[in-house]
Amino acid sequence: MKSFPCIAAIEIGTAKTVVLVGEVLSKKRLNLIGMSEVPSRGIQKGEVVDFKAASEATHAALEAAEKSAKIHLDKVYLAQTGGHLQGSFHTGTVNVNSSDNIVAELDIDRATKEAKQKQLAEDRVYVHHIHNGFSLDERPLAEPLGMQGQKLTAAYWSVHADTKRLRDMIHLLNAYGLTVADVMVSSVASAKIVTTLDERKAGTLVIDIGAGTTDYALYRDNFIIHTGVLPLGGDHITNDLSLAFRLDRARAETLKCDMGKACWLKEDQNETFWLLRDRSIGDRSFPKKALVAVIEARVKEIFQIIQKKISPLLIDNQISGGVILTGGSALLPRMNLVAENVFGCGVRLGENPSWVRDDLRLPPYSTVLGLLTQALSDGSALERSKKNQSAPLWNRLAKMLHLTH
Amino acid sequence: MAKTPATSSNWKTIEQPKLKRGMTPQSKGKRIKHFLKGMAWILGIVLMIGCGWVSVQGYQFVARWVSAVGPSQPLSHVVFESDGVLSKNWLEKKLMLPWGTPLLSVDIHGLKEILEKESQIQSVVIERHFPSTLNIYLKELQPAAKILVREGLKSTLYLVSENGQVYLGEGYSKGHLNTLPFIEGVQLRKNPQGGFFPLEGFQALSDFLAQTKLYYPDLYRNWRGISCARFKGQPDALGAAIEVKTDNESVIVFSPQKPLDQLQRLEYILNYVAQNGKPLPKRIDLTLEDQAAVEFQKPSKTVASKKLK
Repeated sequence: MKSFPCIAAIEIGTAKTVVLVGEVLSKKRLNLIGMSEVPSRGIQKGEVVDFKAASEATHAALEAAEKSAKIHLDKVYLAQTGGHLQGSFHTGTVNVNSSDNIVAELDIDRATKEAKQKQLAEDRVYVHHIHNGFSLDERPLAEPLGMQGQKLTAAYWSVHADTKRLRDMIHLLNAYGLTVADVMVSSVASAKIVTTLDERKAGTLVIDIGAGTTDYALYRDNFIIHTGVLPLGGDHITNDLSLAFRLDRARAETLKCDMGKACWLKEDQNETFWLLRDRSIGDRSFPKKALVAVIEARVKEIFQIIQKKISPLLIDNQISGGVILTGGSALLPRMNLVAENVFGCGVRLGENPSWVRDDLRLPPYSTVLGLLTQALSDGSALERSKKNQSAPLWNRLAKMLHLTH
Repeated sequence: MAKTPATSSNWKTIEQPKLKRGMTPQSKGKRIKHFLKGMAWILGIVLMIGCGWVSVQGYQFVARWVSAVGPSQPLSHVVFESDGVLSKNWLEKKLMLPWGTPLLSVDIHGLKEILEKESQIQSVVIERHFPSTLNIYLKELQPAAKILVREGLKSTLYLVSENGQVYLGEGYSKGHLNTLPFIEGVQLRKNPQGGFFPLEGFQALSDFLAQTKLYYPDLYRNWRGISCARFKGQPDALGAAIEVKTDNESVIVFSPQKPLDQLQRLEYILNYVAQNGKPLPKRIDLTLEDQAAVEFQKPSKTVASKKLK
């Protein structure tokens, strides 16, 4: 039995399911003690399309993580993506109550509550309310407590999801006997781990290109002001190659990973590639330009859609902090060149912090790492674990025997 | 991560049941493991409670057993043992035992002090034997001789123990006292706290008497008095001698050293005198190493007519 409380984070992606288990040493210290990575099944574009297959893959990942960490999990943090996720900007405005117009804690609470209470359609639920700062008499403020003014406004970027699709994802974990402690949007999790404070303040766009979806989050003044999910990703590039060269998906995927590049340069002019790569009967040689052209078209499309979605939010159509690419498909060579071309700013490949082991520093693990660190910095993980540890013995026993949840 | 309270449109309103839908071998295995772990806990707790119960029962049993030995009850019995002559009657008179007092309240230290003041008693052990019995064990001085002390016109018979303690003997039968020889010619020193100081060097004389009693009981039986006028407790002192007076008024002089040799010679002399019809010896001096000086009484008294031993 571990002497410190443990937390686990799971990302159920289209291509793979990753689970990370951490031991919470303090509110700011985490020790990674377990990990598992299993190819996903039954998931498309971040949504469950085959519950049984998805359960098997997810449960296999969870079991492997438990074995790796040598603990028994009962709660997990879930990274959520999918085309059904949408965001909207909400504000809540209240009059400052006190006679001297000094903002009190109560005023902030009322404004915050007001901003979060915007009604949604029946089939949608809020996943996140991302704080976007305050304004006092239309003066932007980071912290209004103790300041003088009449009208206090709290702003939130609220992300909401389709209830049924989110429920399916949660129930995948419930079927393994786990409770979902919290849900976090994948783009927020990734953005948190790959950006620096300076980049967040300057305004940065983080793009997490996965297999089935591309998540993005736009920072300004250290706040996430916009998030979005495109139902496009690395799988679509594979699909395009499969159609263009009449290959099965597996060969197309291998071709993409081994030979693929996101854009064509002059130096590649004379390069060719063999389609089946075994020079067997029927194998054909193609100029590499043809392969790159297919990939570039799709990559460019993804970036252009994002650019179109965020352009109304940009000042002078500029992303001053640059663009950071992360996610498994961001490993495709020259992805940054395409992004630079589309966004017209500096682009770099996201890198996870140096405190994680080398293999986890790659972009595919940004989301699950971000989720785990966010759960830690949030403090809720430690509180929950402590609460769980201090729960009466009977309650813990009852839980073990499945008498209560 | 902004905290999201569970309002009507929050993801936390989504129920999280332990679903059977989507159960996989892994989740079944986990549940079974979880269940078994819970059962192990329960079993552990039951075992702990069981152990606790057994401990309590054990404690209660021991407590009952201890109390069966009995709480303190009024003193009703006394078990008395002594290696000497003092009796239970003497004890009861001496101590005036507090019959009816709870045994635990009996002052055994006080009783012990009373007994230890008695000069005849060497040591005392008193035990409480619950619920109502007192065990008293005495070790008495063993008398080796007797001494008549004259104080003014009054004469008092004292006994002398093997280690020279002078004490007033109690409970001895006349027959026993008659077997003890008188000691003469010693200077008693009074103890301000009562009684007399022990006789110095008496152990040598006591050993001499004990050896005689053991190896030559016929000789010893005839000894009436022993004079220590020439013996001050130091066997190797110049001219040291022990004079023994017998019932037939003979005087036998012993050197304090090598008593067994002298006794052997005495026996030989007396046998020789008896066998040859000689008159009774008046004085036999055995202090002359391998010689002996024998002075006979008037010829009317012969060994044949009066037994020497």
